[in-house]
Amino acid sequence: MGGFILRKAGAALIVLFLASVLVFSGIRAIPGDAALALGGEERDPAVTAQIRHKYGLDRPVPIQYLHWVGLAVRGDLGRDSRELSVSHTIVTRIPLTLELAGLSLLIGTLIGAVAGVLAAIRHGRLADYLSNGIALIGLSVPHFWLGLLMIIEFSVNLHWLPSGGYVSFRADPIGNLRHMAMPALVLGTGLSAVVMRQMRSAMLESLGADYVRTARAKGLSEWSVVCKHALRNSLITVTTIIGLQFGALISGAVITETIFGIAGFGRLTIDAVSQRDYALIQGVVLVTAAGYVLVNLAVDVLYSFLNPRIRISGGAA
Amino acid sequence: MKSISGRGALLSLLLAAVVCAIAVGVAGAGGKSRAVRNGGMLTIALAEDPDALDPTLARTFVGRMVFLHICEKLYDLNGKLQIVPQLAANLPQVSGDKRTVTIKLRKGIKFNDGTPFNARAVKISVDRHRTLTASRRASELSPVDSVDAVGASTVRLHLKEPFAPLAAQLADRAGMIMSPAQLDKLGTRFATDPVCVGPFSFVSRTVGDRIVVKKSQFYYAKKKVHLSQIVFRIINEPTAAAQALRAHDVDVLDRIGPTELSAIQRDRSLSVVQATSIGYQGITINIGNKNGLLKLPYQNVGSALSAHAALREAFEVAIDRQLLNKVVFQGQVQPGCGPIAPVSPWFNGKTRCNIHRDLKRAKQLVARSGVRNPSVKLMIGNDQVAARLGAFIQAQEKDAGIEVALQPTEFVASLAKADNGNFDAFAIGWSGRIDPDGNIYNFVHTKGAQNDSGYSNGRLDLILDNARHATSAAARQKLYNAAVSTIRSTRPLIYLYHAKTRDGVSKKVTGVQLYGDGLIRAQFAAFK
Repeated sequence: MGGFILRKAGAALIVLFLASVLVFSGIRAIPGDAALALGGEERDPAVTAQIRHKYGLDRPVPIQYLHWVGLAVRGDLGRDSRELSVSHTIVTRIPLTLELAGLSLLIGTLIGAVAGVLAAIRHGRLADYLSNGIALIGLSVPHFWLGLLMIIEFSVNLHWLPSGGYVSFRADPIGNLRHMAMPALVLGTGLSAVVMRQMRSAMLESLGADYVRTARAKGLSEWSVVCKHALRNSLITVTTIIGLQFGALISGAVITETIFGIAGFGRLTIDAVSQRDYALIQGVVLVTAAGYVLVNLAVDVLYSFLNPRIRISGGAA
Repeated sequence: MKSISGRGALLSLLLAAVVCAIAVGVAGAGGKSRAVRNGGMLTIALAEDPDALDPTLARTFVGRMVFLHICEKLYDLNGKLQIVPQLAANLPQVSGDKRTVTIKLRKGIKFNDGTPFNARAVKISVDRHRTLTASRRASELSPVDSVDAVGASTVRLHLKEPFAPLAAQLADRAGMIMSPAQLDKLGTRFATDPVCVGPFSFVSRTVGDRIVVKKSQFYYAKKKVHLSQIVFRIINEPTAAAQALRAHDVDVLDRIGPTELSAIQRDRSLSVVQATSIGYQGITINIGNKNGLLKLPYQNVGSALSAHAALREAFEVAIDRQLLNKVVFQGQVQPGCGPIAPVSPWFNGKTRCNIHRDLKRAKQLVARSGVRNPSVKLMIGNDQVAARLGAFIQAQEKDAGIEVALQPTEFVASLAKADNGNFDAFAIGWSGRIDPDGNIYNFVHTKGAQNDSGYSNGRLDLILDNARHATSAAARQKLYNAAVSTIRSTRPLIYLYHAKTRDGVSKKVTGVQLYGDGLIRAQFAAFK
């Protein structure tokens, strides 16, 4: 088991290194001079040159990279154009996006899994068609449109929920949930559709498998057949999807965060790119890449628990 | 003298009572006499996240709105966009040789950390603005050679050369004075906890989310400050910001999006305040920027527009500014023909601006230029408004026989291309400065830091230099009239319109002001 995890962690580190190189060089490939963007409207050439020097932009790119990586491994991601610590900014923004993604994951998984199981056991009937139809809508409706529609209805017309912003859970638990209800539902909609479709096909496959037929032949109840046998095996596929989707939720939360005025990680990324804030972009993308790598690592480990054959074959390899 | 009968006296009394009642009623309906509530938290939605909250390093428009509430300046603007003293006791006094400027300071003022505001503090701040690495104020104060604190309440600025726009520079961030104690404590990290003189003091900042300020206990006019707190919330999606205002989650909305305006105007709980910008939007023509910005001497780039003044004139007269306003902006901008907006005290009312096109003349000018099938590459932004503007100009020029190829370009990339001279024409604007020098010099003077046109005109350079050196407003006005006339006839820039800023305000709030600089002023606002 230890060898399996170590091997996966090693692979994750290599991916992280490659990601950091890609991030660093990719940002510098964006057209336009970062020093010009940071110089302000006046665009005084002397000031632009000073800014270039201050942020090390006048040094060779490999030197800039080594300097950045050297600081990054010590947890220092530099200072952004607001003269604030990038590490601190990211650390304070991550919980917002994690909370949003977590709540969306919860909502999406609950709705999607239940609808998927229902569609599979009622295959070819009304519940199946209904679930498929709703999933299709869930996948098709753009987040920004759904978000604005909800704001107009629940905030402007009914005054039930705040139109946006964020209150920390520690400061005001009820306020926090009220602020997060609409964004989490909007972000969870797409996920629930994905989970539903995966769950449905995985369950259909499981329900048609020999071991399920055997379980039924043994006289087990339908509840036991579906929940203890078919569902457990179907969860392997769905867990993979959820793992991958969690990363996608974090990086894809940007539209939801923008619509609902949540200063999360996604919005931070967009703002940093539009302002050519190299230090912030690099930090944000590196942390996103690390998030992906870690979640995938966690999913691999979880896999091995759900299906011991993976662990055994992984260990032998 | 006639005596008044009893019935007449009764009628007179009744009349007097009615007049009194009407007079009292009218006064009561006026905003000024209406009672306001002390306390309360005002939420202002900003369209972008400000950059560093350090007056020396700050560069963004929205940052100026926050500074207005926490960092006062030596000078400020009044509603007529005239410069008035703020932390200074009076307007600057200029010596006979125009190279020494003396500023008397107000007394008994404290920074928001309780330390005294004095001449030493002014010297420290102005010197920091001039000399700190990457200071965005350095160019604004470049004519200042040195600063002396003379006693506790007088500063003397020694200039390298006469510089009339100095007061205007000191009415913006270059005139903001920071607490020396806080500068000693934080140095270049002043932005993490800025302390100045102001009606509000900085409390906290959550990047991308909000900036919180609270009523200062040290402010010299704290009786005029009614609010206990202001929260600047960053909502950069215009529709979401408008919905937040309509839901009363925010009280003031910075720059209503064009598509949201009608919904906000229809909402009876909201009002819209508007001001015409002191800036402008126009098209910069690359005339001599062949080798890059400030790589002198500028040489004609040889394009159709640069080589033929008649073609530049044709390009301008082919555009119907009135129609542009209607089609591209739904009538929400002010068509204009020069760098000085009509709201500016420096605007020359005698300037003739033909906002309608003259297609016949445009065609004649094209023919006179001798250029067959002239074509122009027009660099525009990559947003929807820029696309509409580009398509409009393209269609108008086609009527005159000028082919326009649009080059949508990301903003920062477009700045780099403009500085390198890699363009024919560039649709770009300027947010505007209160002194005309700030709207003209850098763009058309041979040594101008933003002369992307590569325009070089010795006569205009002389006029603009003299306007910097002149001290009388009348003399400067004459010189700027001449400068604008020269620019308009030679067309290194073709001015199109002045934007209008529209902010949404909840009717629960009173005292929010908006001047031509487009900044929300809520220092003395209050809840009704």
